[in-house]
Amino acid sequence: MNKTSSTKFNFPVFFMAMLGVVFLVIFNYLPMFGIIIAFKDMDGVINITKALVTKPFVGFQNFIDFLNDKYFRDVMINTIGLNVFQLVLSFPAPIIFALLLNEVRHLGFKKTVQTITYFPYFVSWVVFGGIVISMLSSDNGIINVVLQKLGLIKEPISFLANPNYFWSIATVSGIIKGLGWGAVIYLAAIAGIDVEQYEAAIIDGANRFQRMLYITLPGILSTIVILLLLSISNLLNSSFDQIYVLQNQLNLDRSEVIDTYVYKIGISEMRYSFTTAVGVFKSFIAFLLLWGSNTLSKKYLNRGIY
Amino acid sequence: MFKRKSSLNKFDYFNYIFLILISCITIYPFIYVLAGSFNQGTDYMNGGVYLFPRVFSLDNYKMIFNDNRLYIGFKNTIARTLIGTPAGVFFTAMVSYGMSRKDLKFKKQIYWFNLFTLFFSGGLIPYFLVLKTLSLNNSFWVYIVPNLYSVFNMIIFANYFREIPEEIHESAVVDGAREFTIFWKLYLPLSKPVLATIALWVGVFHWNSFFDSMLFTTDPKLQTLQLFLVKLIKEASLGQGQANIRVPAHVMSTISITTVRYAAIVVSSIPIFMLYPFVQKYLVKGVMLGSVKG
Amino acid sequence: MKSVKGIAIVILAIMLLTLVACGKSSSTTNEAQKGETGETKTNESSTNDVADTKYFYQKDTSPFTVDWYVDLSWWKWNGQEWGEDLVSSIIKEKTGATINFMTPASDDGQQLATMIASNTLPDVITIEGWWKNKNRALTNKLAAEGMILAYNDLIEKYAPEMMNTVIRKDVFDWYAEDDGKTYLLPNYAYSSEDLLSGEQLVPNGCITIRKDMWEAIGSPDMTTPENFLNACKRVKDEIKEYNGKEIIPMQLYEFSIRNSILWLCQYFATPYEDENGNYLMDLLQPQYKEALKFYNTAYRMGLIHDANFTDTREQINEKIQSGRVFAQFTAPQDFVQQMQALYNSDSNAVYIPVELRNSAGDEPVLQDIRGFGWLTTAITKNAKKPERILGLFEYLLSDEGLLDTQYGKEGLTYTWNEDRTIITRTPEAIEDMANGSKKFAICSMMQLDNYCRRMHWDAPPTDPLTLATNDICVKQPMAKYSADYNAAGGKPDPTDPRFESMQEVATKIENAEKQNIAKIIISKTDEEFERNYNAAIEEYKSLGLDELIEWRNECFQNAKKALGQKYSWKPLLNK
Repeated sequence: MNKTSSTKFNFPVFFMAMLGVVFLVIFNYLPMFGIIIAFKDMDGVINITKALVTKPFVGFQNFIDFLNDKYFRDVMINTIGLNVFQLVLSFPAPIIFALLLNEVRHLGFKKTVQTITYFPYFVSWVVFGGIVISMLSSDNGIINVVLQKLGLIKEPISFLANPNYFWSIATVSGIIKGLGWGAVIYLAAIAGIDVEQYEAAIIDGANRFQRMLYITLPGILSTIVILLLLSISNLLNSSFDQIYVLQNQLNLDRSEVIDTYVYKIGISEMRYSFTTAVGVFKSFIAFLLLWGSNTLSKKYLNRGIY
Repeated sequence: MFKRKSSLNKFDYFNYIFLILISCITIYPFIYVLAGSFNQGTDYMNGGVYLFPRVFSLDNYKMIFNDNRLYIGFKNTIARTLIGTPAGVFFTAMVSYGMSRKDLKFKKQIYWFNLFTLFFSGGLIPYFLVLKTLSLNNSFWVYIVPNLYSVFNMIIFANYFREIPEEIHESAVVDGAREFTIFWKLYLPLSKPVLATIALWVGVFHWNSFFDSMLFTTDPKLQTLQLFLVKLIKEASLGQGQANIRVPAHVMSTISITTVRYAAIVVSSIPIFMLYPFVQKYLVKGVMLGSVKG
Repeated sequence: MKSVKGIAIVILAIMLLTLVACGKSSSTTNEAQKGETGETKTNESSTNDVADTKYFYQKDTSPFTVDWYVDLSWWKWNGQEWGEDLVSSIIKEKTGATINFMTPASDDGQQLATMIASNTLPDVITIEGWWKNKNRALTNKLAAEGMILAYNDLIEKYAPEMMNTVIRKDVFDWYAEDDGKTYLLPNYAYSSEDLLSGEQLVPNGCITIRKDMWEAIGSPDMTTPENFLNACKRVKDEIKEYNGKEIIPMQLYEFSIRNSILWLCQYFATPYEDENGNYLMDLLQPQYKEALKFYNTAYRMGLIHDANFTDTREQINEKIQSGRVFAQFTAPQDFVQQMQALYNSDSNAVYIPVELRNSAGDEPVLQDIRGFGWLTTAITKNAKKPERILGLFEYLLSDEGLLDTQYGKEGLTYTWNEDRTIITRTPEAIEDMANGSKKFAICSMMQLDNYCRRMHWDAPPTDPLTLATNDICVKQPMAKYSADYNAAGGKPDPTDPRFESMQEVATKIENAEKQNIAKIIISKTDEEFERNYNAAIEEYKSLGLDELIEWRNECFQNAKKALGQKYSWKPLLNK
């Protein structure tokens, strides 16, 4: 009975899923005719609808332009480097935070910490970045003052003027800003774990670390995997606002990423074809990454996006 | 609940200290912003306001609250959040239910059809042209309809639904329940934590939105709160220049963009912030009790 | 392209604070103001003419509405709902117009691009003018696509007399497109009809020093690079602190914009034209290198703080307001509020300009302020009543409209002196303007403001605060070095196939330059300086500097032709 019903065409289920498909066709697939812009020379065109029809195709010229750009290599290295750096450090941070928070038994404390850490999400990067810049300033910034008082350094360090510090600064400030917000989904996943499992484990004599390791972590593993797969696919995307506000002319060697570079030479100059081509290029890589990592994950972890 | 012992071991001490430390770091931006928002603008620019306002002033808030657009903005933002959140969460959850079922035909294809849109888009102008064709531009519904469905949220939902023991579904089918009833009466109530999370995401998204208001509407009556605040901050840079007009010092403007921006953050984030405890309830205590037993 | 002799398109380009120019009366040299008596008659006659002349707009004053998009995120109509503040009620009463202004929320051009692409442009659009090459191309295409209307056609059809009454022919012709028609009306475009002969305006950038500190070290000479740096060094070593905070001997502008070096280059008289009349790129000139060397030396002497390279504009504001800065390499108009706050806490903290020169002792040539108008306004093909809008513009451009919008109502917000040559704003008007012009909305309508016409009307300032901090007052002594008639910006042909690619090259070089300047300045040795400098030039060349210079030269020659000039570079003019 059970087996036959699962092979039978389940119309209500199919219908529900198709509602999403119809939505995407209208709001996502219909506008995709815009991708054609990447394959035509429409830089500086004002009447886009007309130009979409009248302008000739130039093949992959816009993509080649980007790949041949003098700075392509540098911004690519920075984008990937910064993202890998962030993936290794920023991705686990909210998970660890959620696990630690889960171990707190004092409900009031738990809620307070959760609420406080959730706040920075609402402060825009313009403001948050401004706070970071003034704290790191070599001119009486609090970090330098503290380090000097502790006798760790003699002369103040210009953290933001040194490209070597940039990835760390971006990562750490990103973690602080996103920690509480990022932990919400893991807390929800933890809340969904069946209490009986813990009770059974206690009876079996499992200690807290064992419970964390054998119940909590597996309980949220599928959420972790999904978010990890999606993060991996974002390898070429950057938190634009954050990078843009923290970068300056002296750390540009490490802070110029694809998004900021394209913003400077493309978007603000109405180079539609060029910017669309870069976007399509990025999307294509992201799609490949998701497909690849999802396949691997299905094979080895037996979990994936679906 | 299952462990009454209140003694704290080493790990607990470490944990508490660590979390307090994290809280101190993350609460600082809030204090900084709050102090700045209550400080007089020109005085603030002397620097050194870190914890408390030095020259207390309500001018930054007055500037925001004296503007009629604030109330229009609040009205629109509240409306779109109140309508858009339940509608978006419900629609996405329903699709997710379909997507989470094992017996969904063409499951793989439909998934990739969904995932494709996470990355590829046609760009802003083609999107606008579609909205215009649907007569959604310059309409309140441009805030609601295009945001009914989110692929990302669908993935999270569907993942959660899959974790719900299959026996629950089976026994309901045996009882003759229809799929929609199972989704509505069984799955949704069992998914409160994720429901709360997604509602939070969608709600905050609606609350913080200004991009659609900025590009897809020109009617000032449809302006959202965040768009108003973005504009107010931009306009404050004009106020700053106005000091250029030769005026006696006593009538000189005391506003600075920085402090107005801080006040704007406070005004815009406090309401949504206050809603958090209601969501939090489900994140901390929302435990499935005896679900398998049915 | 028609060439107009003696055209005086002298423009306050740099956008940030120009609009507040309302009330910036003294932008002319004092001599010019004194010699104004000759102009008086014209003023009087034209203002009196108003009643007699039958203007086109007066023929139909029934109510109508205009949707007007202003492509500046920070601009807004300062007054109340339309018709409730003074100026909008006057406009409504006299022309029948109710204007709905719209502005974008960010300055990335997205909103405008969306409106163009979806054919939802409102009746009127105002965008930044041709000094932005991007907009030169944009308006050219809008005109070619028929999306904006030619003023020539409208005027001919509805109000032929307008050409002789309010239109400034020289400016109008400068803005002609390839088809000989004009689609844009600029503000702050300086017509020869309005300027007095020999009149010079204050420059944009200006290097200033704290007068009290300078006097405290014995008012040494600071006109040579060496003396300048030594004086800064002495301030750092001898004065050390201000209000308990360490002195910043030299404060440069934000490094995210080119202005960090531009103004010093002008003080060092970096030429843009050679003796054969060809365009010279500043990047390659020895004076440019000397400017870099100057900064580098200063950095190595400890006069420029590391934080200067990482500071945002807000942090620079903070430093200037705190009074720690001795020498500012900035634009005084961008820091008026800070300097006022400083002055209010310490009336000795006054900044004065310094006539720094290059090592050869050349006179500074301060020219970058001059561009091609600031904002330009066009009527779109979507306009429901183009003739009524034309009438509205006629009114706004007329002396009557100028008086109404920029000064308000006689008796209430301003008064003439006895012979009707000088206007004084009333205290009520000044107070309202200081508080955002909510009640009267004076100076809010700046889209067609002809500042050059009215600047001679303003009464010169007298109060010490203004004299000490108003940018025009501060910069006044440098007016003699400003070069008003200038074609350096060029007049590029947007239909040229190279236009787009040259734009791209220019953007890339400018981005690279900003980064390189910072690197070169922090060089630790002379060898490193040379190495970084040469590497930078190599980089620009690999990005297409030579082609860019060639292209700019063509644009430059076009502009000179349009202006009817043989030479443009000031030191060459006298030859």
